[in-house]
Amino acid sequence: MNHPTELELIEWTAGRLEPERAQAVRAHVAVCEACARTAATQRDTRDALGDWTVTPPARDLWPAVEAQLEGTAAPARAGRPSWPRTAVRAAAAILLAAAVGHVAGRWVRSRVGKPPVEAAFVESLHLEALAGESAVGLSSALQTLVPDDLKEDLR
Amino acid sequence: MDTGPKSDAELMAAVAGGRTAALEELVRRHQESVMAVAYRFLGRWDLAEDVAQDVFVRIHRAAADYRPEAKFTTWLYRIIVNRCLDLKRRESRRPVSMADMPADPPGDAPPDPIDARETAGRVRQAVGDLPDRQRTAVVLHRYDGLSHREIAEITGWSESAVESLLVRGYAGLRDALADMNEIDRRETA
Repeated sequence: MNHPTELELIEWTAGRLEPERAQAVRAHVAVCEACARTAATQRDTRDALGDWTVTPPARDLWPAVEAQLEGTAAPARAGRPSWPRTAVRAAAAILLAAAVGHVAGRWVRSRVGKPPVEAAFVESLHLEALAGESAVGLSSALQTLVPDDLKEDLR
Repeated sequence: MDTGPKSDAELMAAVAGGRTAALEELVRRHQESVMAVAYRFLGRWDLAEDVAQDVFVRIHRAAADYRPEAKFTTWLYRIIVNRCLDLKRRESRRPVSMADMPADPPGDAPPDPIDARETAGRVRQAVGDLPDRQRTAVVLHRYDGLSHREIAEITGWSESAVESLLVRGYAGLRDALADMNEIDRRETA
């Protein structure tokens, strides 16, 4: 017989090989010093592992499990808003902020006269350098980028 | 009318039907073994208890998906192993050696005092020091008596991968516990 594999020796020392195979391994180990040594080491390791006995503390987990079930079921239904509602609230907040900003801007402009809106816009984009080089003129180029409602303000 | 104890599969069907009492029975039936398996993985009773509670909560949530064709204990082990591996992954991000972990509570140590407790501690540490996958394979094989195929089913690894992990895991333990075995041999000689 060929040498048994290491895994077979592990299973053999654990008494978990099929009877026929176990018989063959036993016969081999009886005459093979190397396999007998390996099997002895495996048996020692297995026995040592058996020294780690574990006795769980006497504890009833049910009350804690039941509490978790009650604790997790309730917020999922009542406490946490669903994402569509959150999204609607966020969108409403953005629209409100935009509307307030727009009205405030119109009010400020009406008080101080027409500011150089276009120049300020260009400055904010740091496009001044382009203004002199553009053949078609920066003003007309910008018109294509500006939303219609803002064009009204720019006129 | 059949009033005998219900099988795990029958209890799971009842849990899926909304009967909390059936889950309570499953908890009481399996809590010790679940905690023992989790403890062997994690080396701490407080963590093992957290995992065990979480396992039963997950069983409750997943009861509708349970199919009786799958052996309940295999399904149960799968949940335990996944929870333990998740926890170990999280723990590994903040390095704590198993040696730093609290020892077994006094009531859990073998009645035989110092020697037995030291021996058990050595073994616990050696098992805890194995890489996660090797430890998983060895714990399920050595302490829960599962076959290679069952371990493969639980973990989702191939059978040959499980066999390789077992060989490497036992080899690591053999090296880690070699001096213990040497002392034992000298004492019995």
